[in-house]
Amino acid sequence: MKKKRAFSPPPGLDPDCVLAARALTKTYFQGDLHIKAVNDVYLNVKRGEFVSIVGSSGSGKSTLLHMLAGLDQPTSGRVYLGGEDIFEMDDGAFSEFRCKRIGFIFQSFNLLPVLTAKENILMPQKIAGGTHFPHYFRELTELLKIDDRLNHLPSELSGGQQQRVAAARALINKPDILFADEPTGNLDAASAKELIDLLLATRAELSQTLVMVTHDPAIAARADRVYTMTNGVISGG
Amino acid sequence: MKVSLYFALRELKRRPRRALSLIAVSAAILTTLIMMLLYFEADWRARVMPDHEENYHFRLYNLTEREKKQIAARPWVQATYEIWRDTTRHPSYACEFRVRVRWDYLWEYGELALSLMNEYDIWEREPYLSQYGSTYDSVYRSMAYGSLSRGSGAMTREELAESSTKLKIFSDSVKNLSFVSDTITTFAIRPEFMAYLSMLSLFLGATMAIILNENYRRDLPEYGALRALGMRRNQILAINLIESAILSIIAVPLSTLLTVVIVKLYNRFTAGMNTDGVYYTLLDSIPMGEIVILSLLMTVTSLIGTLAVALIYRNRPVMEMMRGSGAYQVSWVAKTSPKFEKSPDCRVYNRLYITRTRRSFALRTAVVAIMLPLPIYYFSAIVNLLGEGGLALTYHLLQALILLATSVTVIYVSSRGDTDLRGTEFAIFRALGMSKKGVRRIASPAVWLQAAIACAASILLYIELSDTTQGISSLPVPRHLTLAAVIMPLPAIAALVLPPLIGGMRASLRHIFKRSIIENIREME
Repeated sequence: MKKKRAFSPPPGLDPDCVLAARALTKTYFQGDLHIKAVNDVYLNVKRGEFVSIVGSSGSGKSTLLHMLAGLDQPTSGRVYLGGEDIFEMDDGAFSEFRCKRIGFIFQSFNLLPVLTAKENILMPQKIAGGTHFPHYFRELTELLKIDDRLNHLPSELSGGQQQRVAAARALINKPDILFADEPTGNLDAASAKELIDLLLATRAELSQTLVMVTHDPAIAARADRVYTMTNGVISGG
Repeated sequence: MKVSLYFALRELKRRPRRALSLIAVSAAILTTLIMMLLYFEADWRARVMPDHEENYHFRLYNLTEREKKQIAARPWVQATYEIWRDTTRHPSYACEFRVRVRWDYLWEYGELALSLMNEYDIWEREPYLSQYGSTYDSVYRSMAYGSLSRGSGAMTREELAESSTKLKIFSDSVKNLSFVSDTITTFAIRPEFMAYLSMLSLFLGATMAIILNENYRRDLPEYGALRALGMRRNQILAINLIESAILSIIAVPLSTLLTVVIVKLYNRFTAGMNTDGVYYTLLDSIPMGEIVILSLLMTVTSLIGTLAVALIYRNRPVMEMMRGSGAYQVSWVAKTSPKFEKSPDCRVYNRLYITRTRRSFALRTAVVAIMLPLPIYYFSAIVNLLGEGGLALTYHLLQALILLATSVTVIYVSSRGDTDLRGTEFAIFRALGMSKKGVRRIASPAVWLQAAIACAASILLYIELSDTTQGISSLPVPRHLTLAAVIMPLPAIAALVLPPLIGGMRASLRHIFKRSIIENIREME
């Protein structure tokens, strides 16, 4: 187990800042060749904010999002979530943190193929060992229009339906921070708008922080702040 | 634990074919293991008892129902009754009761077995002694006197000890005699048995490890997703262990059933024949004690195999797990490496592939190496038995075929699984303009290297195994390398090498319609 380091708050961190990245870098090494997918990123996100990250393909925005959510290890740098350096937390503590306080909507859904839509959505609750809120579950699935597809396996759902199941799964534990990697990539314009409306409504209701990677300028325009990634370097905000 | 059990059960339920294939492999191996032990047991009986078997024979006449029940209630005794009417010698129906004490019960209940023999010893019991004692013919009588010597000539303690040594009956009184304790051995700790058992355990562990490794690599994105949802590493490990344990437990009754059917059939077709020194039937009753021990052994070995596989992937970052086997990274790095561009024979790529997947590569190479020695051993034995013929040949041939089929199937499944996973890379290379020949060239070297290492290691293991069992095994296996040892691995090598070659040839552009691959290519470019 990694030795637990004493917590040292990042210099100049705003107390209201729920997510912060410091000198975050991800480098792929191959012999003499170093490819910096994310290069020295500094980032602050306040509680309840909607931050959007835009950029061309291969600019490193998804890699950045994965590191911000603790799904990928940076080569160097730190990520603070709720004031704690997530890469210094042990597996048990960070897993619990991830389960209860972070939601992630993946670009490629990443639904569990052996579970039905309903089981997929409720899986985070099972992992957290928390109480099942049937009313919230029903409300969520009705809003996402998947209430009639709950007993189907992911392979029996369309891409759009799978994306909405993935969104419901990310929201079921009412996380503090929601990360979304192109959540509307597989949806038609109307469904995309509905999903974004839902995410924003949930954000307002639960004071959630929303960090979203998107290609859609219309969605980015609705964000409080927009960052742009170019060749691993972040700008704007 | 609860959530791990929940997910494991759903995975088994929704992927029945995979579960069945794992159960089938486990059952096949356990069947071979049980068959082997049954043969050893019969072989042991044949070797220990021929000269002294009459010691176990008692003729009990006019048994009462109570006595029959008493005998039947003794689980450590295989009792057979034959009722006949011999009017010339005996005025009434007679019943032969043959006491055969099985080795495992003999070990545990040696003293009880001896007391049973005493209890039912006709020569010292009324009314048999006075009524029928005189009717034994001289041959039978001399045999009896020469061995356990009941009746008029009472056996001395020393004589009893000497007879018991030959019979391997371990009463406390016998064990306490120093000259006996030096010579007492049991079947269970004989070196040949341990060598076989170790090899079979390795075989089983390797089989489970190789299958689970492929499954694990395939399921890696799912485990990544579970980790992303907040599941801990230990909970993922628990899922694997629970699945493995459940499958092993299901495999046990299936194996028992299969073994009983096979051995009963074997017995049926060989009834009345002397099976190369194994005089009696191989399976008079189902040896539950042995099966339980073997099942536990199998379950533990499977769990160790599962653990080994799970630990390889345990510390991978979540995103790497979600991306799959990490193969994409290999191709991505290979493509972006200037060295690769300058290397038309793709040696750089292969070196990268082996380096980056070294743990998995080493595991698969090791398990292929472990899977081959046992079939080689059996085929070598069979070649030696060919001249003599006999029923042992058929029995060992059956075992060898099961082992070979298991090896070939498992190696093929492993190689095929790896090829399927690498299919994504092959498709990327094809999409980037590489010819099928080029794809074959990047697909085959790693697997040829694997085959060469595995073959060399397996032959060394075979020689070690035949050395260990030389002179003490009933199977005549030569110490040196045999033709069978050279030829036998060929199907297994074919099973290892063909999938990537065929897969390489099949690599087609249709794969690029998979969205994830399109994304990969886009990022690469």
